[in-house]
Amino acid sequence: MGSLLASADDSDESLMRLIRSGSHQAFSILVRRHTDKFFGAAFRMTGQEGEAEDLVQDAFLKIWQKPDIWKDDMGAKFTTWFYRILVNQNIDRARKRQKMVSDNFILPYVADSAVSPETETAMNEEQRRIESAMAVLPERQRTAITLCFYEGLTNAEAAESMGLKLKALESLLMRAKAGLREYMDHNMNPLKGERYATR
Amino acid sequence: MQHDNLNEWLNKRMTPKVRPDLAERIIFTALHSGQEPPPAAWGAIWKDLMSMVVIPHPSVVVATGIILGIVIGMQTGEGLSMLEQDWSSFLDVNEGGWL
Repeated sequence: MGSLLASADDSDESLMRLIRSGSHQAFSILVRRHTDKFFGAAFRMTGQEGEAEDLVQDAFLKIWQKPDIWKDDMGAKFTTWFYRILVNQNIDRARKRQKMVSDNFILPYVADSAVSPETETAMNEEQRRIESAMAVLPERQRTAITLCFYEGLTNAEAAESMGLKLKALESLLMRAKAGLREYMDHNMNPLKGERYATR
Repeated sequence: MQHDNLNEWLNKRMTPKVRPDLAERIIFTALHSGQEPPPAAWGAIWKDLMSMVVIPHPSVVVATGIILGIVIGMQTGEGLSMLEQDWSSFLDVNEGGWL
């Protein structure tokens, strides 16, 4: 039987094996190692600090509570696989939010939830524009841009993380870039003087 | 044109710093939430067995079953009527003589 002692030198995949055996120590190492990275990705997907924190927490708790979802024989890199968990959690959370909004439950919260007040004050004008541009993109396009552009995943890895075919991901990326360009044209051209979203 | 600088523009996007206690909060929450027990060995065997009899497309199977049933039923119907005819001719023969 293998030892349940985890060390900071262990690979992510070895730590996952230990987590499956119930090692909370291995889980702690994995969380401390990747929280910053995945928080960045979560923030780029959601555009909200609080939401990003909850998303990362939910994703990590999922792999702790159901470690059997990690299969050794998949041959996947932990980080690529974890992006998938993160993306799925984000979709679940978005669905729940949508349901609550349709039930007129949290309208006031959603209406001004793009960026938290703390983040808002820390942002300069340009940051605000980028956040607004990202916020008008549909969820899946924003996720595709996040994974490929910001997280540096290959298109194939991003497609795997989003559970899509490569062509579908490429199409999402193209539409996202077209949307962003349109936004730039309309909102950042001083001659036009008007500001409006792409949709 | 401005949109030629899309990548450069997106690169300027910053993310807020993660709260220093986020990782510890996750670790603490996990410690108190516990893990789901792994499925028992017999459970895994049962699951495997059940997966062998799972119908992948139940609606297709039901539709095919109905069509097959109708076709076979019609054929069987013809067969019965032929049998009836045969039987009646058999009776006719009997009436004619040797029973």
